[in-house]
Amino acid sequence: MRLNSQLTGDILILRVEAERLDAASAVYFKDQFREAVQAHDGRVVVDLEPVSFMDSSGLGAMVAARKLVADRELEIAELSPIVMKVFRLTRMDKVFSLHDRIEDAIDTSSQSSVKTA
Amino acid sequence: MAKARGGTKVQYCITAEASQISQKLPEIISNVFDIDTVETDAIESGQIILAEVLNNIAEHGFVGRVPGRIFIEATRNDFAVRFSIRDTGSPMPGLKLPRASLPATNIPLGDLPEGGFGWFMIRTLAQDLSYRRDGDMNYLEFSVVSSHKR
Repeated sequence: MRLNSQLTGDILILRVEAERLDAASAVYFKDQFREAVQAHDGRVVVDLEPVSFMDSSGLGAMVAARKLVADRELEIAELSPIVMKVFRLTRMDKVFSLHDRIEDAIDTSSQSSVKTA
Repeated sequence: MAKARGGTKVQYCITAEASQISQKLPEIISNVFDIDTVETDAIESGQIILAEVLNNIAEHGFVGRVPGRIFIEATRNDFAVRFSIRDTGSPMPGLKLPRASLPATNIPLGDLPEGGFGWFMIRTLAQDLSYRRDGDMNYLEFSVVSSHKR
């Protein structure tokens, strides 16, 4: 699992380069996320486009990431159907700002803090 | 590893390790569910449940010793897939399945748990879930209802 970071304006976009964010890879996500956000105090968007599957360990890693940027929202974009299902089932869709597309997160910065109900 | 002949029963044997589970799961799911006829929703549920069940065994079943084997058997009929999972790991605490409840989401951020979602998802998505310990084996069984595409 690799986390690619890219700064677009003041938005830090972290793209998860993995097919699966699960028990085998969650710990790497946590470590790389911590490192990536250390020197950034603006918005953080996690791009899950390459990720087709997430389990409870992956979800736990996202919650840990959410706590690391506690003073901000943690925005997540490009959730696959199965990833969305995991967020909805556990009601964690209430804890993050979810965007369908990464462009939605970038373009509509004024709406970025609107939570998905 | 072997896929049984006849097409209705699929058997796998994998090592109780997260990396092996991650690697094998897509293949298992695509052999168990007929992706051309079964609703996507059922296949997604099957993959979520199986991932949680197997990773739970890998994480808790073999603490402090060499990871053992997990035997997976899936029997398919027109309405559901019945999974039967066997392993030689430690028994479930109290010889029963953990209870599962979700945390409230209106609690302080720092209090949000980073674990415990697995059993909640298993209990929510699986049908006819049962567990028993027999000798040195754990037996976990559950069904995934597989409605078909029209």
